[in-house]
Amino acid sequence: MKSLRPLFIAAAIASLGFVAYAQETTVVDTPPTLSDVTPVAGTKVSQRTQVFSGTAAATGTSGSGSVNHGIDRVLWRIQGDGKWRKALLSARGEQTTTFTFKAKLRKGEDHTRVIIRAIDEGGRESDWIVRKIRQ
Amino acid sequence: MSAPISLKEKAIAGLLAAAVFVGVLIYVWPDHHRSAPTAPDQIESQGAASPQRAGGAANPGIPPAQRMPEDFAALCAQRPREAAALILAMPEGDGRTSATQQLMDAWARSDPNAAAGWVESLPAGPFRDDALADLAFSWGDASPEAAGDWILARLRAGGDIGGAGAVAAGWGQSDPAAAAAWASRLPDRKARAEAAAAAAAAWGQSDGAAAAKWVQSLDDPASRTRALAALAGSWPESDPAAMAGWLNRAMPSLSADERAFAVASLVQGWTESDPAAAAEWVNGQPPGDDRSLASAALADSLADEHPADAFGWAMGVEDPELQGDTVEGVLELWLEDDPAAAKESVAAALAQQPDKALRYRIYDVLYRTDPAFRDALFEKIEGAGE
Repeated sequence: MKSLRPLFIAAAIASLGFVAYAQETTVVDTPPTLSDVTPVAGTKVSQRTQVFSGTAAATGTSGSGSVNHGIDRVLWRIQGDGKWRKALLSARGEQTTTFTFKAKLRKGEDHTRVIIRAIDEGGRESDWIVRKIRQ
Repeated sequence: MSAPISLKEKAIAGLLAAAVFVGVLIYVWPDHHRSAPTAPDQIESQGAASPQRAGGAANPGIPPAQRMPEDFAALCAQRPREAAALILAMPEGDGRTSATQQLMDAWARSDPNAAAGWVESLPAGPFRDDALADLAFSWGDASPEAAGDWILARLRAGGDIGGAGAVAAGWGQSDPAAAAAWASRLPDRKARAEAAAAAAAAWGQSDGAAAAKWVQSLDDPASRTRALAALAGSWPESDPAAMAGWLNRAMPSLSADERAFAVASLVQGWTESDPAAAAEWVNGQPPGDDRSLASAALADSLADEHPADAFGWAMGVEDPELQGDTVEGVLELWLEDDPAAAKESVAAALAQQPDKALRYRIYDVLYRTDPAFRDALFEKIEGAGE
């Protein structure tokens, strides 16, 4: 086995090198967040068209060699409708941005659920917010 | 001289190195790569928890329509606990959501404390959150002072802020000024912001100017911004011109976020009732970020029903990045709804557009939405030499 020593040493060095490289570039991913969404939960609205707004924040990454990403887009849709639409952002690509969009609530129903999600420039996705609005 | 290394020894060493390498890979691989993102379909059930999670027995074999008594409203009013039991046995979905709203409306008027006890007994989750908000809204509408005391008691007992906003929203139906005053007194900062937003939104439907004065008097910046965003969402429904006048005067005193919420929401709301007046207001804004956002909001609002106008407004957005985003949003819809008209208008607009940088930004947008059309247009306008 003595003859294998150089191979083991080489393998160990290679592994240590990889660990060092990986630690250098490993980051702790944190998905973006959505907050302060209006209308607030439980609200009853009188109009079928409703303006929604809120704040999206890319909390970015932490750790050595981290890369911070801004908010790329905020998407929304009416539950039951498969089509996602983009919200209007005041500062796309920034760490924090406001968003607004105008949604047509479901006709003839006593409530509509609107689903909202944010995606940062690194492709990370926020938890989805489901806001039920009474009509 | 060491002995020559046999093939077997080489294989063992190779395997060991590979094992260490794989181990290291597994150790350092980021967590988010180990789990798949939430599937879009999974979210559909988030708004209403499964019957098991809601504390009831699942019975998917019986459609809800067959399980509901004919006069469910009477059952809610006379025997709410039986109605509640029926709801818990229903499969999740719109039927259960509507039935829960109906029950909470009735129970909040007959015995709100019993209703609160039932809601608090539900397991945590979306179904409970919705039921709590429904009860809070109806109780706030029917007996606001008592509903307010219930929320205060919950907060003092260490409960979550759920229901604070909905009580203010319900209270605000009849007396938004009183709802706002109550919201200002809440001991929890998050609950205060949530309730302030709901009160401001309700107030904006009847007297936006008074609501704006109150919002601007709020000391806490987070509450103020939140309330202003909510007010901006509702005020244009009742009197967009009054809000525009207020915004023209208040603009210098607002934070960047507050201006963004106000400008975008005003234009989006106003476009619904009077797009010409909204466009005139946008045209009257001085050049800069606010005007860019206003133009983008106008384009975004017009995109569904007036895509040609929307495209014109999108092209006029000053901020290059926002312009590209807005043009892309408008074109995505237009190319889907009426591709012939969209392509004709885009080709005409680009042929007359002297700003090369802008033309190239539009090509980028088209590359993402319709690459074949983009290539043909690029060759026609820019020539083969580009």
